[in-house]
Amino acid sequence: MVPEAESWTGTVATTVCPFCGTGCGLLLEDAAAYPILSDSVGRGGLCLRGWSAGELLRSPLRITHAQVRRRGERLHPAPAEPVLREVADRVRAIRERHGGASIGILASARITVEEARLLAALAQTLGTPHIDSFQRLGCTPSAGASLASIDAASRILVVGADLAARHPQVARRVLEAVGRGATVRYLGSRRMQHAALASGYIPCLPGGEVEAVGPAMAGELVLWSSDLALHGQAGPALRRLGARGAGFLSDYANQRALLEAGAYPQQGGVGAWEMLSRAARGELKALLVFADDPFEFFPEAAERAFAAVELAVVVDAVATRSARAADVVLPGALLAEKDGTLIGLDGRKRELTPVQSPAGGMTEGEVARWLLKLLGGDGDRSPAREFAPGPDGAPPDTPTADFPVLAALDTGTLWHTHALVGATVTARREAWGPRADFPAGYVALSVEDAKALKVRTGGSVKVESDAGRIAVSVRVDARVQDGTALFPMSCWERSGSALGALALDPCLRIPVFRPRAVRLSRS
Amino acid sequence: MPENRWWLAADALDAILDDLARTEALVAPVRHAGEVLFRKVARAADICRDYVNSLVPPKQFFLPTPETLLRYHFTGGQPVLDGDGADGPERALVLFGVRSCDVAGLEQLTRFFSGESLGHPESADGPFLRRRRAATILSVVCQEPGETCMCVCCKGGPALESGFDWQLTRLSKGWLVEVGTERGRELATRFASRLQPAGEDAVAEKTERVRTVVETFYRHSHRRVQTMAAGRMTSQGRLPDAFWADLGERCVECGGCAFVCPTCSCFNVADVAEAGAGVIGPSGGPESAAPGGPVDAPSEGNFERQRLRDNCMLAGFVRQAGGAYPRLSCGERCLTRFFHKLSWQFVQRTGALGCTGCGRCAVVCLAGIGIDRVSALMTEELVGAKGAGA
Repeated sequence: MVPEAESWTGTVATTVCPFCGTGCGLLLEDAAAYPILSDSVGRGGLCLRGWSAGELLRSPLRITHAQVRRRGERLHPAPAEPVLREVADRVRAIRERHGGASIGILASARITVEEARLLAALAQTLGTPHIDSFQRLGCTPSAGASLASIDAASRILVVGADLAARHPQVARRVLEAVGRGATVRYLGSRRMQHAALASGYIPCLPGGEVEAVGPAMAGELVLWSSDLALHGQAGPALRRLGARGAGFLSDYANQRALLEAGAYPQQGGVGAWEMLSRAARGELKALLVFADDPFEFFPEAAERAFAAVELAVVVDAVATRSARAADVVLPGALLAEKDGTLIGLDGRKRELTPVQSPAGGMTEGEVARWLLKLLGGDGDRSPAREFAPGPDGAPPDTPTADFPVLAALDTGTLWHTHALVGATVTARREAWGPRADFPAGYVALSVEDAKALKVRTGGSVKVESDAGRIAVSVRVDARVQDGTALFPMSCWERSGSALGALALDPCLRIPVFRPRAVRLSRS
Repeated sequence: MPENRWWLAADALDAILDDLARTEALVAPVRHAGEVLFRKVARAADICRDYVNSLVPPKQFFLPTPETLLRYHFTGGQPVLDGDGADGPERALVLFGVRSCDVAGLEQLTRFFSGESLGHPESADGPFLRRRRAATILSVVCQEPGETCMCVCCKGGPALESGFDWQLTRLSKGWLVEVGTERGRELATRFASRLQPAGEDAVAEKTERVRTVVETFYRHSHRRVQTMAAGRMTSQGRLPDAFWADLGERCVECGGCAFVCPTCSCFNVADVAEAGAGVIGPSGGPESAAPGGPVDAPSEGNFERQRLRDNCMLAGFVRQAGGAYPRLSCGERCLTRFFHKLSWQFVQRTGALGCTGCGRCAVVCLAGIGIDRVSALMTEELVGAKGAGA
C-alpha cells in the first residue's frame, strides 16, 4: 500500500524571498518555506517574513481571477480576455479624449526587471510621462551594499537604518562583525536594536543624520537605507554618503529594477504621490496600478484618487485595499511564479525560475504585453533617461522653546502594512500586533518624556505643531530618545497632514515626513 | 536480547530499502539543489549516503505546516463541517536515515502530544499521534560529528537506546541492526531471510565506533550545550535580568530556532479561507481582512482550520486576546524558551532535556544565539558569580 504517499512529500523548489532587497534563497516544500544552507545570502537563515513566504503560494488573499465593477456594483468575476479588451478600449478612449498624459502608471518592486521595462514601454506607447511606484520610496540612485563587504569590514558605520526590523540578514552580518571585534557604530535618532551591543551609538535628531556622520574614516564601511530620504534628507545624503561610496540597502525585493527599467517619472511626469492628488483634481483620468498599493501609506489620498478617476485598474498577486477600490482587477503573480531578472542588494542580477504557474493564470508582464498589443505598442522604447535627483527639499525643523520636541517617522515600522505581509498568517500577526493594540494609531515616546507628561502606554496625548494638531494614543518605547515623538509609518498620512509634515521631496520626487517641531500635552 | 540485534550485508540493506520503496512511502535523505532533504524515494540508489543531517527537520512529517485539521463551508449563513471532521486515513511512512537527535526529538514530541508529559492524556493530539503511529523509524547512527552537532552533550546521540524501530550502524562490513520496538521486530521477521544474528564482534565494533565519534567530537568541536551550568542557572533563577535583556537585544524574532528544533512543539491554529477568497479568515473584520477591507463576516465560502508552526519567542504568540502581553519584552520571551530547553524542572516534567543537540538553531539564528552560545554565556555567568563570591 502506498496511501497518499505524495502528500507526505509534495513539491520542492527553490526561489528568492519576495520581501526585502536582501534576496535570501528560499526552499519551498509545498507551502512551507525553509532557508538554504548553501545560499551565500541567507546562509541557512531567514527572517520571519522569509519563513512565512511559502504561505503566499495559496494565500486566501491571492487574486485568482479577473473582476470588474459595473456602475456602483461590487466587483464581480469575469473572464480575463474580454476584461483586458475592455481595459484597452477604455484606456484608448481616455487617451483620445484627454491625451496620454491623463493616464498614470504605477509599477512595483514585486515585479521583474523585464516587467518593469514593459510598463515603461506601455507608458511611452500611451504617451504619458507619469510612471512611478510607491515602492520606489526613498530608493536612491547610488551604490548598493554587498554582504561580502560587510563580512570583510573592520570598521562599519550604520546610518539611520533599523537593520533588525528592515534588513535582518544585514543585521546578522553586522552583529557578526561586532562579535569578531570590528569597530561598529550605529548612528540614528532612535536607539535601534543592536546599537547597544556595538562599539558606539551616535544619537542625533531625526533628519540630522547626515550632519552627524562627520568626516569619512579611512576604511570605514558606511551602510544606509531609505530612512534619511523618508526624513526629507535625500539630497544631503546622496552628496555626503552616496558620493562617498556608502552601501545603500534597498528596501523591497526588486526595488532597484524600478530605476534600472525607467519606471520613475519621465520628462514632465509626476511621482506616485503627486499622481494621487492629480487624479483627485480630475487631471488624471485613469490609473493603471501594477502590484502597487497607494492605500498602504496614503489611504485618504488614494481614496479620493480612486473615487475621482474614470478608470482604476489594479493588477496584483494579492488583494490589497487598492484592489478592493478598483474598477477592474486582474491577477498578477508572485516573483516565485515568474521567469525574469531580480537585482540584488549589491546590484548584481539574478535569474528567477518559477516554482509554480501563476495562481491567477497570468503575470503583470503578460497583462502589460496584452495591453501593449491591443494599444498598438511593440514593447520597444527609447532608453530611459538616467534618474536625475532634483533640488533639496526643506530642512527639518529645529526644536524651539515653544515646540521643544521633534516629531518624525519611525521607519522601523516599514513592513507593518506591506501587501505581502498582510497575505500571510504568521508575519501578518507579528506586524499587525501594534495595529491591533492601537487601531487608531499611536505616537511612540521615550520613557522619560512619558513620565514627565504623566502618560503611560495606552494613554493619550495631543501633538501640536505650528501647522496643526493631532490627538493620538501613546506607546512608551525605551528605544525612543527624549525629545522625539515617533509615528509608525501606518500613521504617516494622518499625522503628517495634521502636523504639516507631509511634503514632497523634490530630490527624489517622493512624499516625506519632514521632522517637525511639536509640543506634547496630555489630552 | 540477542534476537534484537542483527547483522545485515550492505547489498542486503539496499534490497530491503528497494522492497520498502515498493510497498510503503519510503522517505530518505536525498540531495536537491545542493541541500540534504528528506524526500520520498523510489529506490535505494536515490538515497544520499554522504550527509550529516538535513536543515529541514524530519519533524515536518509529523507536524506539517500548514496542516489542515478540518474543513468547513457555510450553508444558510451557518458553518457546516465537511466530512466527519476527522483526519484522513492513516498513512504508512518509512523514514530511513533519520539521525538520533531527531529520533530523540520525536520521542519528546510524542510525549508532549500524547499528553503524557503534561499529565493530561485526555488532551492527546489526534492528528500528530495518527501520523506518529503510521511511521516506521529506521535511524542511522552518525559516525562523524557535523560542524554544529552537539548531541553528545544532550544524550541525543550519536546512538540511542530507544525511540527507533530499527537503529542501523554502518560497520566495516555490513550493518548492525538494533531492533527497538514490536514494529521493528515485525520488520525483522518480514526480512528474516536477509538478516543474520549479530555476533559479539559486530556489537563491539558499534560500541567502538560510537566511542570514536564521541572522542572526535570532544577533541575537534568547540561547540557544546553546557547542560550542567545552564541547568543550574536556569533552574535556580540565577541569571540576572540584564542577561535576558542582552539576549532580547540580540534576537530579531525570526522564529527560526523553533521552526527547526526537533523538540519544539509551539503551534498556532488559524481558520483560513481558500485561495482567492479575499479574506484571510471566516470572522471577517479588520483583524481578519486587509486594513480597510470588508468588515462583515462572510456567510459563504470554504475554510480550513490550519495548524501552523509557531515560536514562543514571537510577541504575537504571547499576545492574549484583549491585548495583554504576559511576556512583553523579547528578553522575557528568551527566558521562557531557554527555561523550557535547559531547566531541571522541564527535564523532570518531560523526561528529557528540551534540546537533543542537533545544532540547527546555531545555523538558522540570525543573532548568533543558538543554544551553544547561550549555554556558554550561562556558564560565564556561573563562573563569574562564583568568582565574585570568592
